[in-house]
Amino acid sequence: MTVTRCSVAMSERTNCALRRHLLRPDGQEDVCLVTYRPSQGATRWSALLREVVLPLDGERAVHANASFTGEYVVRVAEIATATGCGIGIVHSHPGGWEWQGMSGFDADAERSYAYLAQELTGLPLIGMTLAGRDGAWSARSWDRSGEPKHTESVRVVGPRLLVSWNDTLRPAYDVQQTQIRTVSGWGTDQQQDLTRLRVLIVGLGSVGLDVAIRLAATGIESIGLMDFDVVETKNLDRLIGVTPTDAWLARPKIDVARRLVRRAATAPTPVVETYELSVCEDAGFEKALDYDVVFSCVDRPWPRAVLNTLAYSDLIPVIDGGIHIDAFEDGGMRNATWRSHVLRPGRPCLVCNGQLDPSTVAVDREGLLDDPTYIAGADMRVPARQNVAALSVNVVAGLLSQFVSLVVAPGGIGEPGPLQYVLSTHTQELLDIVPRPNCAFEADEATGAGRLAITGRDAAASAARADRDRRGPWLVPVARFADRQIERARGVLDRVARGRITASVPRH
Amino acid sequence: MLGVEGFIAGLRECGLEPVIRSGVVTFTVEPADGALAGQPVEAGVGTDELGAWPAVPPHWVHLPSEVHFARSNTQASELYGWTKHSRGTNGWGDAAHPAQAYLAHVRAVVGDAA
Repeated sequence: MTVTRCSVAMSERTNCALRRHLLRPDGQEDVCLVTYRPSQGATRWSALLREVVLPLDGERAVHANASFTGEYVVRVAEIATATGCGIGIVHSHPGGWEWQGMSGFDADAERSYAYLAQELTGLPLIGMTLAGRDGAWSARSWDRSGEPKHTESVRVVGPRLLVSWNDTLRPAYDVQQTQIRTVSGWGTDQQQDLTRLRVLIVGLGSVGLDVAIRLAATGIESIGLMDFDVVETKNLDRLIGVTPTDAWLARPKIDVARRLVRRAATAPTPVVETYELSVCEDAGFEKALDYDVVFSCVDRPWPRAVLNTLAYSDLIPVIDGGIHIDAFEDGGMRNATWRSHVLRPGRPCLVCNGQLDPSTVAVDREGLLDDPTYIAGADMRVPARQNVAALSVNVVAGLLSQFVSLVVAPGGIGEPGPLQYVLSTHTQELLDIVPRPNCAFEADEATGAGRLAITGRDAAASAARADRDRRGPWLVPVARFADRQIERARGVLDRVARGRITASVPRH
Repeated sequence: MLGVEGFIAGLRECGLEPVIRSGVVTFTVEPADGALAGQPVEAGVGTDELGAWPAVPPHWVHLPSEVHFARSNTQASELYGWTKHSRGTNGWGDAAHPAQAYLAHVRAVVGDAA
């Protein structure tokens, strides 16, 4: 697939280091260089900032504008090359706000080093500008051609996910009549920023399906849905909106989710991409790199380890959670707990917060967690798969609350950290868990293409896809055909209805 | 360093001389306890399990088939005359020196040999 989009990402720590240098007390522009690692998705290439390399004495001059020496560039290029990185030139516009254009002087300065940077590092030069009045970033990449390719966004991953949008490449859509109540919660500006995020939901069980539907209803324009499984009878007690027909036809969960998400969507032109993949597969992971936020709605160790990696190596916040139901062996429920947390640099990973045992990842990867012979021989308990529709909705609420805190930051406070709710005592706890000093997942920060090699062939996903079309007697293909026609007709009706009832809300 | 390269470098830092044979990184350990205490025992780890090292530890411990356990989930090793044993690592993820921690795990496994 052709890479058509470009973005830049950094941690809050890097953002703070850059701001400290670039926003001078005397109000003048300043400049510095950074190193970055590339991250290549299916359609989006990202530069992940790693190290801020401040200028030494004599390497840059400040004179209302700022300039720097070729020796500074070469020095940083050597550092970058030694670590498999590219380089970026970052400067400030102290009086600017929002996405910054480039003056001829700025463009010439960056263009003049593009060829050298690519020759020394093998990677394009990244140019960035910091707007001093609101902290917004803008960015572009330069290859040997000397023409800039403007990025669509720059994201800062911290307690808040702060995204600077290139309004030309990623324009906001006008608030719709169907979103009036939503917008009243946080305002038009916030709504227009939030709805431009590309959000991927991995796992379309009871939690993932509901998360996807509610994000669509909120107005998220671009939603990705990833699952390789099909709807089965045992799912009908928890997949709200799924029908017995879906189970009888063994409909792929992505197809059901797409249907429900499209119906719930309030964005005027929603983009719903479906991936019948496992995120553990190279192709699935590559798709995930195209997104700004990922919801982890899976419960197996391997995919959770993969998403745990993604959050740190590629600076894409992953919102994860789960429920544990403690049932008595002879019936009755002892307790239930549910948790939610955002995985990002500065927060404990799934291993550090006790939600993932890394020793089970290799076992899951080989399919042994589904092998009763292996489980009996290992004297393991079969992994608990209890879930209850009346309670899984709490996990949905927890994940979406974390998302709102991360993106909207009510009261200026970002995501709170790991949360746990204990049903028996009806208490919610903010868990005081800190990242462990030797955590290999968290140390993998902004490594991009050099990340842990954790993906591979997913036999379960391959088998599920191969098995899908073989399910059912002759009546099933006929029923599927009929069902598709009904869905097409309904889609036409929905489009007519949207045209009649929806309209933009005038901005005051 | 990550992956196979990182694992081998870690073993070398621990004074071992690992060798890759038929896709298995082999090295010698001396268990402190058990029937084989104090004896050098060859052990191995499949390179296919080291992609995400040190974040994800390998699961299978490869040992010569003459090393027996009272109970073990086993599969044939890639190395002729060897067997691989399923042995999870407890509490993984906090070691300052992951290779050292993994060697301690292997020594403990071999220490259980009959």
